Amino acid sequence: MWIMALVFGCATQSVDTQVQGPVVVYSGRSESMVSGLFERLEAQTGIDVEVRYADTPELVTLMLTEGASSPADIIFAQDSGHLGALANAGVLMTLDDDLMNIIDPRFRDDNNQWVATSGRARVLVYNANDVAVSELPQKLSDLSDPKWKGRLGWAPSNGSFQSHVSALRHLWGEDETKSWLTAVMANDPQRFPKNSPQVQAAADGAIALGWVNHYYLHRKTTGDDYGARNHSFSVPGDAGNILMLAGMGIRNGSPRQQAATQVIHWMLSEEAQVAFAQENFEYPTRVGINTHAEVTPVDQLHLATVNQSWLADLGPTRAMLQALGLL
Amino acid sequence: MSDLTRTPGFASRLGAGLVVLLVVAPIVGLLIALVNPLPDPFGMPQLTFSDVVSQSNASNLLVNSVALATLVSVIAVCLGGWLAWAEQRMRYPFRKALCVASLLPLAIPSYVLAGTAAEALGPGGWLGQPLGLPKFSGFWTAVLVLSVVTTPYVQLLVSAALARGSGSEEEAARCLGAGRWRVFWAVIFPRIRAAVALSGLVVMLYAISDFGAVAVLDCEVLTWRLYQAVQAQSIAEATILGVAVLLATLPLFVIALTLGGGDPASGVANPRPPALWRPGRVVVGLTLLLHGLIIGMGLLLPVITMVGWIVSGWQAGFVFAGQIQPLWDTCVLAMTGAAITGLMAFAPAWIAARDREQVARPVTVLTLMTSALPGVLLAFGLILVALRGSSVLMGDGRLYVMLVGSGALLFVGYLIRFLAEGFASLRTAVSQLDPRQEDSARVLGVSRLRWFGFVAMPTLGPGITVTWVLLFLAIIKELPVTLLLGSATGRTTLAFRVWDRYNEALWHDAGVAGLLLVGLALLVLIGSLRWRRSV
Repeated sequence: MWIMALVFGCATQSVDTQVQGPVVVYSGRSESMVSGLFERLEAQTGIDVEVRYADTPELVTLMLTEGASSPADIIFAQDSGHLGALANAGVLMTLDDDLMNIIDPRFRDDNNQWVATSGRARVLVYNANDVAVSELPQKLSDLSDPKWKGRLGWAPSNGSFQSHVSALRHLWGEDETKSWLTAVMANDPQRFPKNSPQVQAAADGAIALGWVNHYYLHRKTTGDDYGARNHSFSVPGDAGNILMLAGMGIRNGSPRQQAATQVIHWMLSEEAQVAFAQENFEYPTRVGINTHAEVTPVDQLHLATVNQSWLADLGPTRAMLQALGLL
Repeated sequence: MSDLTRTPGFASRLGAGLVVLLVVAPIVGLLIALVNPLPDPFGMPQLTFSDVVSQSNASNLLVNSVALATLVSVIAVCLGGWLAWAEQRMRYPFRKALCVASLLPLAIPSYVLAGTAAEALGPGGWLGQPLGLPKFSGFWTAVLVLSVVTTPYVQLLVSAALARGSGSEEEAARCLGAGRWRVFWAVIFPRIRAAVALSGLVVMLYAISDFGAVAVLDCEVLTWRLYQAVQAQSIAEATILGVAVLLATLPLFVIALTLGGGDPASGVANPRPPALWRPGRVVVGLTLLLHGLIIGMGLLLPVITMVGWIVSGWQAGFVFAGQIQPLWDTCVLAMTGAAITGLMAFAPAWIAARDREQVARPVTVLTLMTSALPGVLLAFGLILVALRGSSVLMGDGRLYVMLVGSGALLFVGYLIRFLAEGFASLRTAVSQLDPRQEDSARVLGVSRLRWFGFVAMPTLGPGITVTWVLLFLAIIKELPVTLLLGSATGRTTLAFRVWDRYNEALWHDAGVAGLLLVGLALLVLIGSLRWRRSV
């Protein structure tokens, strides 16, 4: 194995890349969402960036497995929960205050271990023909109402779903969360493997309500004739109104920390933040950047106050979901 | 073993031994991780084997996994075997075109077929709505999807075995008064028995290790739980489940190998194609129906759905991503990976077909076993071994970084993931070498090397082509190994594009990448048609 590997290795690349070479980014954010930004960054800053795409949980496990041998300089995670896990494991370095101060204080990590680059709101997606606006739930807990029996969709195996339930455990407590999940299960929600098919199912009328992230709808919308709409809960601070953050951290021990810091700086620049908002329909984290015209502004979301570490508390959440037979 | 087979020399045994060592490397890596676990990233207590196994429905998941794999294997062998028979022995309208089209589902990743079927056949889908179908998910839909994806695999392999049979033996038997069934069981079946059993086994391994379709269709099996564990970064739980999957396959191995028999009949020199049979209307009708099922479900349904995505994206004025680079990268990776894997599969195939049973059996089992491991675990196992090797040999991670960056680890990953498919195909080819030719060559004083080059290679030609085609088609749709071990090479594959765009609901781009995969498979299957039949 080693002989073969050495032959291949010597043929294409030298070991020096570990010290000089490009800034290596492990990106759990998809190529379609962020590759254009990295191209612009390279053109403007002259920094050479090598992005390796995969699912966030797998990349985080990879970084933990690789430890000090990891070629990664930056982790770009889809969920702050996973960044919290890396921070807990001591994998990330502390970021400068001037970097942290660029973003909205509400979305800041208390320990400066990672910085939020953009956000997505948890919302309900509903079929506009099937559900009247007046009929829509005012708070998340209303989903247990028997009137939704057979009309709901959810994705218990999805990362955002599990992060949201983790937040609920902290907001409502274990018992209340469990009994609410049990009550919703009595409504026979349709299971989906992830969010995007729920949006399509709501548009097709296969479900009346789905529990998703906000931006899939905007990518699907081609005009008013699309059957699905987004809905945020009107009760201020409701546990359903949560912003999930994507963000970046720098690996402790990375030999390219300076260049890596510059990369993150650029991702928080006005240009990048406008791109997150206008091209990806996400919520920018930099203060003073507007959301896309079709997206509900963050101040109208009536967000619940959530500590980002709550979203990372997935272990007990999975145990609960397994006990309920949802996993 | 047949008395005509020749015991392989030391070099072949050494080669097979090295390949087997390589193949079990990921399992060793995972065992290291089990003994020496990473702390749980979310601060949960470490899980032990008994914790995982005693989880509420673990035994149900195990039963479901074994049932899914067995059902899919039996269905694929029946349907694929029938299609292979039709391809090689029957005469009916559009036979050649239908047989090539029936192989095309090989190019569709199982999660794409599952996703498109769930959309098209579900409530609100373009077929589901008019037909009033319920939600497309659960165990039976997974059986259907995986059977459709794997039937072409059996068809390709068994068809290759049938093609190497000679018409003269069959005609001789018939002249001696044997009926059609008698000829099949006495003359033809012994020659294809090993191919049938091995392809069934490989299909079973594919089904039990499939990660994508069961996740999309919410089919509760062990890999479905493993997927959840990986998503929750519980690599310890995932590893334990992976070991459970491996253990679950062992009894199935014994059954399949026993059914396959140890001594496939050897072939004859200068095979002559047998006369084609003109079956009655019922048989033709059933065959066409079967083609319809495989082509309709495994090709037309995903293709029509993907074309639908592209058209609606185009109408909405969405920007389409360029796909030339991924197309090129996919070709480079798949051509190289298929060549390396095929080459490395040769030694164990040679041993398994020609060595003593005491050597052949363990080599077969060890070669195939790792295929039961889902790709994501295989990749992690390999990474763990490479990290450990790097720190032992160089004192740090430099060698590891080099192995990953150069793509070496990726090709080792492909080799381990698909060795079973290459092995099954090559073993069948090797077992059909005519020992009498080998004897004649030796009597005439021809060296082994010359015999191999001038006698064995031409006979093995179609088998080698089939192997390369199979491996090429397997690699172009591979995802987890490519993601974890390949992204460092800077290459972007079409399967990656399908996954990336599908996840973000950018269906128009996913559709283009998916159609390019099908197009690539079509080119390779048509291009290799002549070579697969004869030389």
